[in-house]
Amino acid sequence: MVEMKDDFEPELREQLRAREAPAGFADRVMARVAKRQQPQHRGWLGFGMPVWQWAVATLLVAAMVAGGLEREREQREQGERAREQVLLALHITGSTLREVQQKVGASDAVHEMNQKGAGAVIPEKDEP
Amino acid sequence: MRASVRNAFWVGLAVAATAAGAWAQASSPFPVTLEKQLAERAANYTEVSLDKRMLDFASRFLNAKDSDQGQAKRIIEKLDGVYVRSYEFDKPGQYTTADLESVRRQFETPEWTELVKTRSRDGSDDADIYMKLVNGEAHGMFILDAEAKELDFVYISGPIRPEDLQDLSGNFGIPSDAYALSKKAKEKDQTKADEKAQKSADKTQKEGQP
Amino acid sequence: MDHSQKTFRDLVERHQGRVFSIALRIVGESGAAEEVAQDVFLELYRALPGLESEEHVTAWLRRVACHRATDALRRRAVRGYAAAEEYQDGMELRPAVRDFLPLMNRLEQLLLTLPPAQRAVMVLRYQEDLEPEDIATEMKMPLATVRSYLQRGVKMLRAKAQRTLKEYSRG
Repeated sequence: MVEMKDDFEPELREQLRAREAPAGFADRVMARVAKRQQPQHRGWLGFGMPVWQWAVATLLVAAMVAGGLEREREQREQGERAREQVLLALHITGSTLREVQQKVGASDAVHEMNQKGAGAVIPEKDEP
Repeated sequence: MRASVRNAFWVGLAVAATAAGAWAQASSPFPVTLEKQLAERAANYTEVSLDKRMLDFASRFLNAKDSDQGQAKRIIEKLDGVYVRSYEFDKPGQYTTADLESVRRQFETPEWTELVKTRSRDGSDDADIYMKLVNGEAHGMFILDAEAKELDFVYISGPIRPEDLQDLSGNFGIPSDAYALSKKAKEKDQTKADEKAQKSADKTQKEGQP
Repeated sequence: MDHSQKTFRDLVERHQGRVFSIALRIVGESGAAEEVAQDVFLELYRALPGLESEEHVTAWLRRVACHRATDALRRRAVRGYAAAEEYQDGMELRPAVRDFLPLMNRLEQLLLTLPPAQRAVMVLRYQEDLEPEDIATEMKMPLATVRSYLQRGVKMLRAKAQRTLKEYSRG
């Protein structure tokens, strides 16, 4: 894959280096942890999940085996892929429109400068 | 070796981009030969082809409660197709003005109105926006953005509501001026219609004279 | 991983800059960013028994911070702080918003003019130095989308930064 070299990227990396968190951040997090801490219930299977979660998980597995969830899963994956394509297409549409708009704006500015240089008077927006 | 590995990768991505294999039998409005040539020359490319069936299918999986997805859902619900081609090249000169003209020709019919046209000498900084008007309403949009090492085509088929493009500002980056574009298209179309009517009236008057 | 308070505090201190920065650059406001960052670490505390290594923790934090920050942004949009309202013509930040971001450098401010999902991708690339393939995996996004976001994001920011420089030198 060809990497597109860009002089701007080193500056981006420099300006977007991780910042320090606000002073006392860790203290505030630990205070919230202490407030919300509850004893951990270790289920009989010893994996740290409550028993009721294991019961739900077992039932879910049984339902998947019994039912036709595989087909639904496939269709859901296809649908999610299609959704991503739509979002990508709209994103590209928006940014292309914006780039064209900037190009037109730049082109108008150059034209205006050329006109001014040639001695033509360009009326200001509010003037007739 | 490098080219074949690279191309195999991007072929894979293009297949994925047509989404769910057999579904996407969309007809691209762009010349197929040119698409293949550009893809061969590109370092990276993205091709998205979504016909009516794909858009309707995708719409079922867009969450109306999510701000981005909800807006996308509203935009595409009446569209007939969205086709995007985006190419990045590792050096200039990978396409010609003739290539660009072969794409533009598809949209130079009476029902299409040219709104934006910027040209450079060698075609490497061109931009076009065309809008299709049916009964005075926007029913299609074509955008071409050409730069030295990039080339983008966007074709949207179907009713485009100006308020949808307006609302997307900030989410999909579609500028609020897109609303103005639609208005401009209608004005231009009206001017064309007026000029045509005037010519016809003049001709009738001349024919009526002895 | 060891779940003791001391170990957890060490983890917080090691990763707080990363998590806060991700949140700040997506949400765009310091108070909201801290709220998001604190929530992420509380969630980490619960999830820690299932995480096997430092690398696993780092990847988890990146992913969850991005998602929680974009969620927070969406909630603000629903409550009326629509992202679009903060922007005016040409996607520049309104002066009122810009003035409240004195701590953010110019590129951080310009980053806020990109849509949230694209912002998150840019942060993962240029703050966290992830490759596009890893970003696609962590964000559960197609690689084509990640590449498009990066390519267009860099282009947009470069153009805006150059425009700003011209305005400063002219002014």
